[in-house]
Amino acid sequence: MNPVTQIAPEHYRTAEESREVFDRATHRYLGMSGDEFVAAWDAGEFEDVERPEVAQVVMLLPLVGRS
Amino acid sequence: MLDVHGGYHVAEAPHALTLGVEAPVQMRGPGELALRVTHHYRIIEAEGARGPWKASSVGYLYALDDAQSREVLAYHWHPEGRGGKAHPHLHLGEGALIGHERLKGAHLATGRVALESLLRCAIAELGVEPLREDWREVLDASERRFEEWRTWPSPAS
Repeated sequence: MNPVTQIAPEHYRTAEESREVFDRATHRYLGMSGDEFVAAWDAGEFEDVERPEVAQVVMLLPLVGRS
Repeated sequence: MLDVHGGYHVAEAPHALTLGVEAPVQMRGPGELALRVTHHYRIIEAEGARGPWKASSVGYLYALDDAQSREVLAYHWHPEGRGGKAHPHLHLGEGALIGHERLKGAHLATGRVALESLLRCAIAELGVEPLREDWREVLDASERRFEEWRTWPSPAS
């Protein structure tokens, strides 16, 4: 059993790995690449940021150094 | 496996902890629920017992999906995000099979929600089967630390 101080083991992702996770997530939730999402996001193309798929991807923006 | 993106340095953009964002973590139990976690934090200077540096939570998205990958519920707090609601809130998703049309997409205000609270609810009330017998003690101990060290709402006394 894990000690009580830890619920799950952690894995430290490199910046490149984080970018790859972001890219796979944007494909999974929105059917586009990470770069395509960031460009569309910056262009203000997502109005409903609370839609589940959009909300999930927006919360992953820190993986590419964005907030 | 909890993924740590960013680590432990001062940065303008928040760091993120993620679990199940590429493939939600399937949990055992008749409800066939799956878990997604995204938690934002920054490393900031702090005084007193919390210092000289601390991890300060600045947002979260904790969600449960059903077997068809439909969101059942999601706890959101994204005060720095563009658009959306800044206060902590709950969404009941398509997977919750809500009959009241206006509830779909509604922002149901909550206080700050600990991940431990969602996990406790999933096990105790939504039929998720725990992996370990001492799950309640593990969650209670972890949540007590959260309540002791948080800065909002006020630390538990």
